[in-house]
Amino acid sequence: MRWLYLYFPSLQLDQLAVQYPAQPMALACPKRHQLLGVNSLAAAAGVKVGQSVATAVLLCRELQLFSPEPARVKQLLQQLAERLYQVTADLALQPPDALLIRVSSMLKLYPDPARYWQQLQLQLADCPYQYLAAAGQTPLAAKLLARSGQAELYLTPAAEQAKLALCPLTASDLPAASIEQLARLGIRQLGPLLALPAAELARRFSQDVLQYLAALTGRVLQLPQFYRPRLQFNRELQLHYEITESPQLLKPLQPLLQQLQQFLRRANLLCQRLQLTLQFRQHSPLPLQIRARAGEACAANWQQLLSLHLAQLQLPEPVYALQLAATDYVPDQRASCNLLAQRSQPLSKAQLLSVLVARLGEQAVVTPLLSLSHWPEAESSASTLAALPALNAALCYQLRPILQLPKALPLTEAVTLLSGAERLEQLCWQSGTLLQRDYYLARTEQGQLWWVYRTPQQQWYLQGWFS
Amino acid sequence: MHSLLEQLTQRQWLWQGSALPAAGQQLSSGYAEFDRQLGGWPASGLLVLQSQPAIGELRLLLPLFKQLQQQGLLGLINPPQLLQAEPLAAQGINPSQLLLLSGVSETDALWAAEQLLQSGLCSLVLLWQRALVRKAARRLQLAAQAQQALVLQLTTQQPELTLPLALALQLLPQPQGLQLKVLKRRAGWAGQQFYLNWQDEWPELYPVLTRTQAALAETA
Amino acid sequence: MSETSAAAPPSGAVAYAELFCRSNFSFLQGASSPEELVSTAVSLGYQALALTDECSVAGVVRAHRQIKQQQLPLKLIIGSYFQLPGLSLVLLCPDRQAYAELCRIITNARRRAEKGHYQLEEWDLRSSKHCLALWLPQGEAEVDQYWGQLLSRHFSGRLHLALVRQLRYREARYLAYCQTLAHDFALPQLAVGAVLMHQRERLALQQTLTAIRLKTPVQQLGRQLLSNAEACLRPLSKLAKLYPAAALAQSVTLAAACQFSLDELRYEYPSELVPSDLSASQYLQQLVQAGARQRFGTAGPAASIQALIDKELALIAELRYEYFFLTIYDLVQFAKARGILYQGRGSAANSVVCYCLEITAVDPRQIKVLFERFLSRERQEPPDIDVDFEHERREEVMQYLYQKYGRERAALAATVISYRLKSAIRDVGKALGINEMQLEHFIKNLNRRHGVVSWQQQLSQLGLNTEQGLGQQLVQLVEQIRGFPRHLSQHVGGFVISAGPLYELVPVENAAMAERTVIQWDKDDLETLGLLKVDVLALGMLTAIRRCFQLVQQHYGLTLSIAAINGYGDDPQVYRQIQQADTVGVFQIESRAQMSMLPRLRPACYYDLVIQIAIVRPGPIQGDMVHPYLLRRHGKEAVTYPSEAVAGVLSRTLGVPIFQEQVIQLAMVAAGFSGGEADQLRRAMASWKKTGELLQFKEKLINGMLSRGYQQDFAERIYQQICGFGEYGFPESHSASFAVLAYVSAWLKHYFPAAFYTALLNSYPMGFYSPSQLIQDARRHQLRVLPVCINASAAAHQLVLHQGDWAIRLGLQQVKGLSPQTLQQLLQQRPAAGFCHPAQLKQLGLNARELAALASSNALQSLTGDRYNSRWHLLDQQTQLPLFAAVAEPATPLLQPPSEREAMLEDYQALGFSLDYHPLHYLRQRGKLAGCTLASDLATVRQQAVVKVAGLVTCRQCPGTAAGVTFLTLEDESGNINVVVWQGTALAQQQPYLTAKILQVNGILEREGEVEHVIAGRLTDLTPLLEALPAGSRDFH
Repeated sequence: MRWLYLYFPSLQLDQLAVQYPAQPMALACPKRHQLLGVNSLAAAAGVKVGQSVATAVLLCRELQLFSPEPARVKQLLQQLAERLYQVTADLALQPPDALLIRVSSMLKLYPDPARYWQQLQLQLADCPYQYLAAAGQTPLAAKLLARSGQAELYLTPAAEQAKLALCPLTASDLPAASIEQLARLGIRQLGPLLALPAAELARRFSQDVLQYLAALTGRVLQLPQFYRPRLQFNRELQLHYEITESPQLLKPLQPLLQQLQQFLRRANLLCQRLQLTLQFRQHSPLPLQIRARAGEACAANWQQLLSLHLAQLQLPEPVYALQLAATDYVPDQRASCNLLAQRSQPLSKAQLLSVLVARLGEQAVVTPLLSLSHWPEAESSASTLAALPALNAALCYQLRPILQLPKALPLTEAVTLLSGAERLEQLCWQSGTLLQRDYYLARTEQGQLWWVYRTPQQQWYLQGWFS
Repeated sequence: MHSLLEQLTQRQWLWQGSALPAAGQQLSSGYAEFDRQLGGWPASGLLVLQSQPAIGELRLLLPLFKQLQQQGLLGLINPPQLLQAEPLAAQGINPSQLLLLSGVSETDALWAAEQLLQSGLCSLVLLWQRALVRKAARRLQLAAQAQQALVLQLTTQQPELTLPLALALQLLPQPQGLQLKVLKRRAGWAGQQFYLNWQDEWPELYPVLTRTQAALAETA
Repeated sequence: MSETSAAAPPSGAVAYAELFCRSNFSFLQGASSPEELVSTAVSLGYQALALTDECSVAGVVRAHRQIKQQQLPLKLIIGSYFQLPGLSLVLLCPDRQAYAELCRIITNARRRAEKGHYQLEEWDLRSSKHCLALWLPQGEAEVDQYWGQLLSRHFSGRLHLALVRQLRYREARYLAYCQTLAHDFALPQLAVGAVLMHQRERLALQQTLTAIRLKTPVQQLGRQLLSNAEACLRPLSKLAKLYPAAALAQSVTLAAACQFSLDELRYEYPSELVPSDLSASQYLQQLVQAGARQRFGTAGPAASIQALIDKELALIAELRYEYFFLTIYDLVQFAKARGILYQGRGSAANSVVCYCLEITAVDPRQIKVLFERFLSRERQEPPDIDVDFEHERREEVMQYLYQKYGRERAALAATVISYRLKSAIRDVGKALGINEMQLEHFIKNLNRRHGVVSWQQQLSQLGLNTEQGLGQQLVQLVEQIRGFPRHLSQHVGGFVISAGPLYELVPVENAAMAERTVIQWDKDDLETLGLLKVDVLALGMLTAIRRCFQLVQQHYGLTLSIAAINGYGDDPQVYRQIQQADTVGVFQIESRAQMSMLPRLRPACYYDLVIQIAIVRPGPIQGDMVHPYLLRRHGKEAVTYPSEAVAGVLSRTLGVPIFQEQVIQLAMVAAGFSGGEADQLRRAMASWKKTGELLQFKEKLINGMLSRGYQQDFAERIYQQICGFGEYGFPESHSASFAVLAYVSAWLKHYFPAAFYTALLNSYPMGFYSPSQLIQDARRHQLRVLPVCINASAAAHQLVLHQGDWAIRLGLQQVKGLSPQTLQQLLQQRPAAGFCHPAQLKQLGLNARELAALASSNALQSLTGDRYNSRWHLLDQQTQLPLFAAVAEPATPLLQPPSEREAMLEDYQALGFSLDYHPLHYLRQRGKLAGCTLASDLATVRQQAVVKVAGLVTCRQCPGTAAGVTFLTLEDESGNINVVVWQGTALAQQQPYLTAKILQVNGILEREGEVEHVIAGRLTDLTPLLEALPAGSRDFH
């Protein structure tokens, strides 16, 4: 057996099964309302792939529906590849749901193929995914066998040919149009197709049918693109002497930051988040997250951010070791900054913000409220924030208080009204209750200009200041 | 004799008590009366505005904000209530140029103000703060000077006039608009007082009293 | 109609007339119906209400009818609201000329833009001489100056400045600005409400409508929504506080100036139909006499008939409806000249005049003609005549009308398409931001037919929380929006024809279809205003009958006509075939329910057929009149009449009321109703489910009968039967006209079956059955059906002589995927001796898809033996090069022929049926249907015996009247099996019940006379045995 094809038919569903055990589940395509994948429990209730959502729910009341997430499946496959990479070398990703392994090169290490297969099974055992494995002389042969359910590992070449002949063409990589045309000629399996003379086929079908057959039978060899592991930066440091004061931690961190800088420069990456974990004798390790909004490579800046973080940190007991890991990476397209600004070395806005956040905490930096809706207390939804730059001044109401109370306070002092009422009514679409307020401009005795409103029950409230 | 005076003034050897101080160029305030009285806002340095809230103290600064937003970000630290972007946007101020910090302790506020100035990104920092100690004021003044930026402190209390202030004003509400008193002014006299009439810009907030209402207001 | 002036306002209280108010006929803007607005305006004490929908007067007639019917003390003013970039304007109609002018402006504005939009031009404003105008300034100085000058120049003295106070942002400034404008242009100021809803609570619905209009969820609309609910009809006290007194008073003075009422619209019939020297009634008289001689023989009609003719002519002259009959007469003559089969029906069929004018073929001697139903003095509107034409040639008749009267004087009546449950749930759900997949899921699973479970409960069962949150909002809003108009579409065939230009009478706008125009009023509006409507309808059966006549003429040399066949009288052989329920393809009596009734009723003459058609309807079934009639017909129950008078009415139907006319006659004879009152009872019966008007007639009816000596229970039973009739009671006149066609089609099926089936197949889609079922029925009548063949078939199905007797050769049109142009091209270039090799087809330049269609329908069988081989040859690119034309073909075919199963499946996919195989026959041969009884052997099974049957599911019917019972038809190679599935069985076995294509049923046989049903017990789905069979079933039709 020269190639091994591992086919994972229901990656996403199996992973979901871990979260929601013993639940009938199905993947449904949101646009066409058709089922793409069904788990065993759902299948038991008669739900089948291709059925419409409506019929499926009718057949199985508690069916849970999920929409397919190709990105998540890709990530799961990636993790699987990383896990198997410990055991085997020539491994190729076959998105969306399979892995291809060149076994011949591994046989040098494992004289007996069964032992090698047992190693693979060990790795796969603790993943929750079902899989079908098949071996074949060529990658495509192994793939066709696996996809048509012939999960055989130890086949003589002759037995393999016999099995291949029975494989349905629908499981092959032939273009759908050709499969349809062949079906209309009564050819539904590989055997009869291989029996037809190549010359006749050439006159009637497109080139890729012939190329596929050639690759399948091994006349032509196509090597897949093998898997390369991802970059990681992770350093441990045992301290010579225990440190009690947190600012002193900066000294030993210096070299680690330099190494980080070289690593990032070589990979032309910027790091957005650093994780510093402090190890103690008794106390459990203390992880520290330091974030640089727009990504940072140079050690000096990390130094500054670290010092800000450590300045406020109290150590429960002396630190004897620490560990520095960089997690989120982002490619380094350094924004071109104009060098002519006469100001001193210009920080980018993101860098300034990360410095402020480092000291004041995330909640201190606030974005001004903008709701562009009648109701004063409507929170500014994300969409309006996005509309900030493209704001059309004409659309905005000028006669609104610049400073508005977070929660309207009952009016306690007498005011004189300066204008007629502006009536605002808000229907809460969740509860269905209708709130009505008549807003007025008012001036207090001390000359302060307030925005007040009266409720139908004649109670008066202060909403905002025309400061 | 006359020509002698001219030569002296040209060589700037002559100082007139009432002449306008040419203390560095100034920024137009957007209000004709204000520019006529004070020549506009100082271009950089530390300023203090003593004022009760909700009498138009921010509306006074809006034209200034509008000018300075081209040169850099506008830092606003610890506003007493929630800042609404819409009325600012209606006056042409682009909310994405605002950098707003709130719920910060007084010492942190000063540190943040200094950071904003030193970053070279802010052309103005507005700080709602009760009072400034001399050392803090000094540092802010120097930072502002170095970055050609403006620091404005808004307080309800009487400011300490011995601080190195480029300008200190007191704002008082009026039925027609706003009354301003100069408490301190670098290279200028204090005690100056004048009124801004806002009945044209904000007709609803300062309604033109009909004769009867005006009579009533006199007697009250 | 007297001027309804409102009561004088109580002293001190302010008087007000709302002059700018939009109903829900401003589509997706107004949130209340014209009726709601009118009744609220009255309750608030308004003097007058102007209904000013946007560039439309579609809602005014409903408001007018509401005021007239309930005598409300409110003056209705007609007007319309227009928008131009920078201008908002309301035009009101003080008098008839202004109204004509407004209609013209709306028509021009609508005709310039495509359906649903309008485009007003400045020219329209300049050309307006009579309308009053209300100007709503925009608030921008230079735009308002421009329009101010233009309007004050063209509407001098008729222009007012409208003040709107809705407590909006910076309204004081806007009002001050408007007052200065009014001062500058010296315009009187007028208070208007800009009303969009009749009460505050409609704010939620109005905002939902806005969300639907702007296609964005309501939560994201922000400022585009109304900021408050002030745009509603407000109490006078509130208005007094908001508006200056002068502006309020001005509204009343302006309302007083408007005197126009819709009742002034008199109808002028087209005049060119009458020769100049004769008056209309003389001409009509002349035509009727000529017709009478032709219909009743040269001696003329019997005395009683002649008396009836004179009575009818006198009434027609008195009510001035001559032109109405002349218009229909002219239309019918045109159809006769062109050889288009037609048939008049409806209340007109009851008149001898129509019979003489050859409008209808119903001989009054055969049915007792009821004059009251035809015309009555109390009812003010003209008789409603429908004329059916062959559905393929109806377009010719409509174009004739357009040419004869011109585009301005003839247009189609409108139908208001309003929100029904499913469209309401979809639109409101999207507007509330509920995710679409969930919405589609609800809509698909909402089964309106259960009747017992309300749609709200069904929604909550499907997982929507209807008690609170968005779900509750959805349910409330859907309940309110149902019935709201969405857009105007064209009536199926109702033509409006006038003497003068139509747009003087009612605005005309573009319909969806090209060069079709539609008026803004629907048929109820026309009825309210007494305007003429001619219904030009399409009937498939007429096309089939004409084709059959042509085939018989061509092959048997016999010329037939509907009148001739009727003339032969009742043919016992034809009626025996009808009694055996062998009526597949026969008009009106081919449905399953009819087939199970025919053997029990055993119609033997024309009038039996009229009863047969009317009796199998929800009305008689619900009023349970079917059993009494059958018992009396077979003598099992004595035929008794409570009184002599009732006997006169019910003798024809053995004392059981079946027709709508009989109920009216009973009301007149037994309860003393006058003709007109009886007809109002009929109209109430038709709509009592919606409006409940029937209750007020209840006491009148029962007291009337009691006073004439009938027992209480007889009166109660008659009242129950009337409720049962509701809108389903079938008029005798319609039934009579249909019976004529039913008999003709049965006659043709009996005497010329081959021609009959060929005609039916060529007129498909029509009728109840699919081509596959028609062909199987034909073969059960020992008719050979020859398959589609590239050389032997023509385009359509043909009658051919085959081995001595008539057979049906299927035409190439049956091949799915073959375009008509390719078909013609193929037939022209077909060599005399026919094609001999598929390659020749490729030279014709047919595209690959059409070649594949031909191959898969096995039309090339004569050339290549089977489908696979023909495709194999067609695929071959090589032979396209002329160089290789002579290359010898490889001797042995490379492919095995298709198996029986594959051939059958492909027959069904390509043609929709298979001549050689039947799926059940295929399964039975392979022993898959052990123990299943054939349809034809059901007769041998004992009553109440347990039986196992299987077949293709061809029809699932769940009639509303049958309380959740579903009728299934299973078709096997020998015939059809009727299966009855109780609701319990269906719910318990959803999967097979809903999705099975081939179904096996274990159940008990029920027999009643010759009619057999299998009461379903266990359902098993056999579809997996034949996976690829296309679903041909006609579900829940």
